[in-house]
Amino acid sequence: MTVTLDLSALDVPRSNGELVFDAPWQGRIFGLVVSLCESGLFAWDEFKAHLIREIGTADEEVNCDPAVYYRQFAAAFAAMMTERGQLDAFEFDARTLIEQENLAHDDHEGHDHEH
Amino acid sequence: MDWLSMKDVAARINALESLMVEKGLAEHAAVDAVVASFENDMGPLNGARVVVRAWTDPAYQAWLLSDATAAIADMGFTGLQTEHLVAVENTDDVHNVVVCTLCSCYPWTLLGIPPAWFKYPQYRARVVKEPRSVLGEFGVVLGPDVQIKVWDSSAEIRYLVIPQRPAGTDGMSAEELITLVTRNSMVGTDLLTSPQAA
Repeated sequence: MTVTLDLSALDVPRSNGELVFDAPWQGRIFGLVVSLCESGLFAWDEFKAHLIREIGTADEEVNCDPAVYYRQFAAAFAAMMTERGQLDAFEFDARTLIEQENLAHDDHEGHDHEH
Repeated sequence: MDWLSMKDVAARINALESLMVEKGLAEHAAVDAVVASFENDMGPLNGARVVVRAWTDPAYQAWLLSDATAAIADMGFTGLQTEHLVAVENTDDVHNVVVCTLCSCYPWTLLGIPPAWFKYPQYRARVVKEPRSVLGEFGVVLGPDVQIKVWDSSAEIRYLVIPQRPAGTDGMSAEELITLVTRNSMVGTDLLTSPQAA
């Protein structure tokens, strides 16, 4: 479960000044997939096959929206875990309702969008 | 489930994470660590350090070109999409450019998260068919004699382009040189220019 990312205390700018993730959920899904891959749950190629499928089935114009990429990333992960029998659709829907409530309670700023 | 149009994507992602943690598959701290490392530690500066070492140390340059994975591991850069790294060198005669035609494979450890354009279908499709004109749109204008090599990272291999060292930089320190190396130059969509004379 070790994350081999100890790159010492380099003072590195964020991707030459660009924000890495546009919204917190983008970082969470990316971090979840990468950490599970590093823990050995699946090989990156297995995930990549699902990601290629998600990107391949989307419209060309849709693919141009950077925010779409992490949705495709999430779709690929959910599809892979469902295929592996490690994600149940009913359980997923039920948990999403709980998390929606958690987010509504957390959000005192009145943000009504995710960007 | 339509992920592209769903409004509650943040709740969906939180549900995925909490379910994975409950099943004992994931740990919140491990997710935190990946996010923090990408936001703070990984980025083009790592790649720039490798490039500058190659510019200033011929033995290292030879090692990088023959076994890039081992050569970058020597600088502490391992794992995360750089397990099978190949370094390709730009010269007066050859210009290298990298693409992932199928998705967005990219050497994260050295360059961070890929820029949006790297994921665009136009770039992924066009740079293979008409690299010279795509490079022109990035402002990279190459002479007709310069051969362009396009490297597709959709397979296991990731690529790092070693840009040409700009002229007039002989007296510069490594730390000064690092500031000249741009992210795009290490993907092949930028040429480095000499620092402006004062």
